[in-house]
Amino acid sequence: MSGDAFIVGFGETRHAPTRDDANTTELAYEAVSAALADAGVTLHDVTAVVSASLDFWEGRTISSMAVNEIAGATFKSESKISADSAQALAYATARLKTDGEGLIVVVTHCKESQADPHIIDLAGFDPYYHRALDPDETVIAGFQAAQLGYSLDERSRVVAAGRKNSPWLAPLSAADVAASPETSSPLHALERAPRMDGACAVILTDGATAKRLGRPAVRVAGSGTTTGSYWLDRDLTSANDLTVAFSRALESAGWSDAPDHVELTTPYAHQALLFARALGTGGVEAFEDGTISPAGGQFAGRPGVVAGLSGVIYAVKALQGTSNRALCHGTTGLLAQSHHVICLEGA
Amino acid sequence: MSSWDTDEPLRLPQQITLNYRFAGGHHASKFFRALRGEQKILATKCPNGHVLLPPRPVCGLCNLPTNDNWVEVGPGASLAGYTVVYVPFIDPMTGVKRPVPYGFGLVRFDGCDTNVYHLIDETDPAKLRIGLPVEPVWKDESERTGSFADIRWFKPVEGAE
Amino acid sequence: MSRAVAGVAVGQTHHASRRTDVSMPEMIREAIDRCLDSRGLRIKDVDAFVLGNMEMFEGINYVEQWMSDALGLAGKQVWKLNNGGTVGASTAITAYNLIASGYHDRVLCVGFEKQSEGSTQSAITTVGDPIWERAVMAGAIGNFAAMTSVYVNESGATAEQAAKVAVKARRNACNNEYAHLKLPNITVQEVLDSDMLAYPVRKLDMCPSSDGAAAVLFAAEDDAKKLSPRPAWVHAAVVAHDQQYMGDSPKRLAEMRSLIEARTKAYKIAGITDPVKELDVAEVYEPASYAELAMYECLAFCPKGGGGAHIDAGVSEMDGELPVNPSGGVLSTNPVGATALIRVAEATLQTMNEATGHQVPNVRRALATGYGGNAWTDLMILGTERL
Repeated sequence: MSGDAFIVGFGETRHAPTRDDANTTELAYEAVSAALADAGVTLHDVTAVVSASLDFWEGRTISSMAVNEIAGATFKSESKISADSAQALAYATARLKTDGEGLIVVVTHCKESQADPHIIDLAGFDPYYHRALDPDETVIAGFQAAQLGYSLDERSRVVAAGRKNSPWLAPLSAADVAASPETSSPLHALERAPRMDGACAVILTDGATAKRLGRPAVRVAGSGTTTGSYWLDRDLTSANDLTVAFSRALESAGWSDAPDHVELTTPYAHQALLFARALGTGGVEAFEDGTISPAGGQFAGRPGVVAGLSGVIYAVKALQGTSNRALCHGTTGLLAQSHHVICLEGA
Repeated sequence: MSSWDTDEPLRLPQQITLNYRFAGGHHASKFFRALRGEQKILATKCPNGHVLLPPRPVCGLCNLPTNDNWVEVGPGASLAGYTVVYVPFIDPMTGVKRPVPYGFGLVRFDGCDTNVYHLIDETDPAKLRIGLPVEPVWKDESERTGSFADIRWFKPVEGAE
Repeated sequence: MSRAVAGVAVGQTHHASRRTDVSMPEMIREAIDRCLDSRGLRIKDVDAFVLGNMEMFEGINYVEQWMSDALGLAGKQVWKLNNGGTVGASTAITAYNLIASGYHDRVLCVGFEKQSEGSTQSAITTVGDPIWERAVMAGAIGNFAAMTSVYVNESGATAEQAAKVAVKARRNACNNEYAHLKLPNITVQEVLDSDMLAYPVRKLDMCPSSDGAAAVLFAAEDDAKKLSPRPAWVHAAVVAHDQQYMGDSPKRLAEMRSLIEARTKAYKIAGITDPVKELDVAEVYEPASYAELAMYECLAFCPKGGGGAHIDAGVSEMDGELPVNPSGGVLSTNPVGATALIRVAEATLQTMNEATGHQVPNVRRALATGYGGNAWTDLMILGTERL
């Protein structure tokens, strides 16, 4: 097991549309302290920290400044990845393999309630040619949905399936989704995942330490990432960048085929259907019967950025004590321009 | 002649207004209520005795939780570092250029183990020194909003050497 | 076992106050192309990219994604970092970890900032904690000046000694084709006569604000040897943070805790006991003249309180025993997202014996630091010997 990285603990906040009872530091500590307790370790045992957050969403340059101290990084290393947290887990794995041993806190946080999503989107659009049109992600998502042609029924059912097992939000029926107001034709408001506040953390360590801790461990077997073209230059009906990230992940894990459990993260229902089709994992029924995204992804109330690692936590729970495999996915940017894929294996 | 009439590269102005609404959360809510309402400075104390301002859930020096253990510090304080600023700086909270010169420094409240930056009511550097006793000057109640700026500035304690 | 990693190629832009002749992606391409062209490589020959800047400085969210087509990154493995002034060095340390672990083989680090396109002073305000720190900030200069007073009080360093650092930087910059602020005839008196920005820091004591980009290619083992005739092997790559808030570190610069922590770890890893003798050149992230004096002390180049005497003795001059910032340093060139990567780039060039115009003779080991966030440190030691 030398050179391998194992998840030996995790912690997650109560995600909610607003968490005014905790500022960013307190919210992240809620997740970190739960993860440390779950692993049976303390902040003294931490050797390094890897975090994921986005400055525009946090309203703060160097947004990780809010979480260094509570994650045990004082006089130690903290590395901040400006992307979905699945990529932070991939980096933490590399970092651990370089060091050969250690105990790394991977922490991610986002308070979507604190920002104005339209302005955050606007700041992500091309400043020369697009911004003057005051564009919104919803508009290009509408373009994409129209080109893909999935029916409102299919899209609404994906959202309802994602919401079904949410620990944080009340269920929502497909009819509720279809009846919500139209935003950018053909999209309806509830096809966009809800904006949420939340944080989560996992404890990653080497094989010897995992064994010593005696906790059920899940191995990070591999990972892959791809950044695609900016939206105007790409084929919105293709998920080629995802399949590239997916095969990079499988190759790095040495897996010859996809595992049974695939956890997708998408902000829009039509994207979930597109990505599932690209991975050959089925249509809307696969979401409903839990073959794909049983955790429910962002539709279950996972905040952006946090979603990737939150999906990992769901998969880790399912894999503990088994020798099964799971694949978790996170995205960053307008219309899921970057993909980050993590391979997990029960140990 | 504007740059449109030449072959010079253009510069294209654009303004984005970012609005945020930050959660105070547990520590800041307690702190700013006491600051605004009672002019009290509350800090958190870690199990090893480090008194930390701003108050926070974890002491990084000890890697221990502070467990909601609060102590009052100040209002007496001393300068831990200082400067007099001569370049105009846009005040982030007002969007207006702050008049220069103004004093600025690291202030340590009596009984506290950390410093906070704040404005100093003195613009002659020769009258400032590390260790100089200073005290907060509060804004009127009607002006206090629940922010560190509820303290207008710190002024040197009269007669202090 | 982790793999040996080395810096093998470097490229940077001509840095300036305003690069209005190019857009941000065009500017970055200059650095990438110079880096890859120097070894006859193309984008397709690189496995992954680690980019660093401060998104809020130019107001572009997901900036690496917006530029993915313009930079040739579409379909590639891209990592985006953002952690303040340190970020450039963090791209290098991230590349090191990604390669040493076997995750990637060749990684191109890119640091960039086009400060003229945003309001840097306002953007710096966003670094402060929104609840605790923003209400009473005084920009980077006020912050530095206040911590400088602590250093001056502790060390007795004089304005003349700080001015010598300012002079050294701008004169060294004249030998560096790419540097921004080149002042061949600058004198100590001129520094002392320049406008007081925030007591005791004068205009010529402070770094400029620049547009620019830098790129460094890292590779592993034998591949590194193929790519560069004299690779700059990574001997140590260490990051250290401080506590959460700006006022937490009691003496700030005077006893920069993260720098002391990082150099202690790095010297131990690299087996260095006498840095002035065992290092041949250093590129440190000195945001102000006084900071470099404090950093001599924190890096153990001289005893505590000896920063001023160290510059007086000429140890850090180009012909001194341990030249510091032959490139002209941050005092001459400061595109924030690139600044710390320029330190690593220059240390790489010095180790490869390719620092045209400002090469220190016979470099076997070079040190580079990054400074940023809440007085954080990134520190790398590079050397000609493959460990």
